[in-house]
Amino acid sequence: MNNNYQDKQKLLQEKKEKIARLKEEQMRQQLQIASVRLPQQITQVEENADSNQSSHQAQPTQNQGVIAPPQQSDLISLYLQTKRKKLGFQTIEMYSNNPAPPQTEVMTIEFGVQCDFEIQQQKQENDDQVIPIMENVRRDSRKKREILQSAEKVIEKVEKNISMEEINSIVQSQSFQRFFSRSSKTIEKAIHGGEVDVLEDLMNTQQVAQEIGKDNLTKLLSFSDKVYTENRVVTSIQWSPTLPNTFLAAYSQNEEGSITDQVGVVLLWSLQLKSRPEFYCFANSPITSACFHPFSPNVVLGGLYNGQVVVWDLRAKHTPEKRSTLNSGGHSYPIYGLSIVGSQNANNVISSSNDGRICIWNLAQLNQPQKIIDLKTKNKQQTTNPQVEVNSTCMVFPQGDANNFYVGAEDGCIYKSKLHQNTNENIVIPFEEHLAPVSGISLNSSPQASPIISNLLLSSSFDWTCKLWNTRTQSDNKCLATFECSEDYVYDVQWNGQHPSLFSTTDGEGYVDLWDLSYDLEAPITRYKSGNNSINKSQWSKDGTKIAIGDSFGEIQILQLSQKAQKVDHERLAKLEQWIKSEK
Amino acid sequence: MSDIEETINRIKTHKSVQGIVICNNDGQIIRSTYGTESKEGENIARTIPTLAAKAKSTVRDLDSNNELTFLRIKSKNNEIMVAPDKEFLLIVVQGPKEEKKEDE
Repeated sequence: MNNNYQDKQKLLQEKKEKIARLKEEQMRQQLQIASVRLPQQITQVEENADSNQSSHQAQPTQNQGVIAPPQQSDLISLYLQTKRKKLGFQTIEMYSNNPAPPQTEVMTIEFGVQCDFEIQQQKQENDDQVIPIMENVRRDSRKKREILQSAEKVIEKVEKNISMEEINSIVQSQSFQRFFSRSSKTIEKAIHGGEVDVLEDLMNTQQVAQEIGKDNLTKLLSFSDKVYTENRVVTSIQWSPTLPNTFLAAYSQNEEGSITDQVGVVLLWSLQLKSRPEFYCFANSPITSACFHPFSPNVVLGGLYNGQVVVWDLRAKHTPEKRSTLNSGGHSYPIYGLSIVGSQNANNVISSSNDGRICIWNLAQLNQPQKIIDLKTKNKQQTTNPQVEVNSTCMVFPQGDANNFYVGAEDGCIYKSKLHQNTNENIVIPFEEHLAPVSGISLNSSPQASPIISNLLLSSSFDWTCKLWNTRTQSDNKCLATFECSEDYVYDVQWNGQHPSLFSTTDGEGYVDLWDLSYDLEAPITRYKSGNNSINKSQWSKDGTKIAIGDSFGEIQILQLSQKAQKVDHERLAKLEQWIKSEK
Repeated sequence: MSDIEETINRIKTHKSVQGIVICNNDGQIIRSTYGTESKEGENIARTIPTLAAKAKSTVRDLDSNNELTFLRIKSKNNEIMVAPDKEFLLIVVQGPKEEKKEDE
């Protein structure tokens, strides 16, 4: 008995050694076995299994214990080989998802000790490691893929801990900058918007709130940027014809700023992005007028104080893409009037500068204007020159008209002229009534306006008044009505784009007056005080529900028009038209 | 580079924003306001890109002319906003919405 026991002990020892040796061999072999071979192994295994199963019940389990864990994934083992120097049976189990092998392994050893010991050895000597795998494979075939995948992931994660230098280089790259500027704006809109959809109009929710309010004008938002708008006068505001809820604002120079500040700034603001401008455009001279290109959504034009016309492409960069020359071909005085006339296919840029010069440009060729017109008028002071230039401060074209235009001048007159005239002389027809420079003119562009109303021209002046003209009747050139409620320079007048008889005036005291001609010709329906700063420019939105006002310190406020004021009273409107007809 | 930091700061200091993670499509963090102590940043960078990719492909499958512009996950405790891109993602986690109304 004792001998037997000792023998068995010895045999057990030998067996253990052999197992250890076999493990080592298998470790080495796995490195050579390609993962592609696995499926082949499996099929072989299955074939062998079918034949051997009945006779070698014990063996499969035994050999399983020895072989299975390594077989589970070549990739796992490869990884382990590369990453860890010591590979033992234990560590392999830790990285496999299959709990079975450890159990079988334990069983195997016991089995091996007690019975079929010698057969097992033969099997191992035959190096037929493939056979016993089949049981394991059947059990693990579903799990094999998961294991493989998780192993791959483990490898990838360990290998790809990128360094700080890589991160920095990524951050500096162009694509990252572009991605970040775009996505951060979207995120900021989403954060501010709260429940409202990022892409949706803020308007709807605001309008509902306003019906409860009694005021005709209520403040919605205010826009200013510490860096770019402080102490700068807002010289131009225009709502985008294509993008919803977006407008541009041009600013003059910051007189109290440092030398390194940008001199000319045009900012594009979006109503949804309240914290900062959507786009920046810079120029090297203060910008006196700016407008969107109605037919190219990404193009913004600007007229500078030095007489240059510049073009920005919003997709490209912050500085102008194109600019006109400063030589005798173009302007050399501040450009106060800038507009684009024509149709999609044939459009021209018209710019008017303070010295009375009007240039027609083709965007493709900004180095020279296509046509130059010098507006001149009769010299009232009888000096040697019979004609004197028109010092224009504003220019407006009727909608759809590419020939006739109106210019307001510093001598208080409004001149009507044509771009293309038959004679060589430039004939201007003056409307003389204002006693001080004309600061703003506006033509009624409401789609609901009857032909009579759409000929009405409004002008604001530094003589504290605003006048209404009928452009049809040129006979005596008398104004239809004068609006005097302001006690300071009136800086701007604008017809509401939708309501045919509604317009606004802004003055130097910070008042925004809302007038409705169908109600009252003498007094405004609302006087809104927006602050203490004089309001230089204003512009109604395309849908006529909001007005953007820019003051002399760089702040832009958006005011909401009440529903009540937006309603058009057709009876009263008809009466107004009657009155206009009769005033001849 | 500093513009990025400025903007991240501005978003971070907004009310109810809990954290920001910028990562690439593989889940590697490029910028994160979570810090390396808490695992939150890593968890976000590990799980969100796959979800965003799935959302992207779903939108494409439904309409081949369409593409994903923004992904927002509202949950009980917080709200995760993802602005995806070809290679990167900007992820912002925001707490529950405040009861503040829009400025009048």
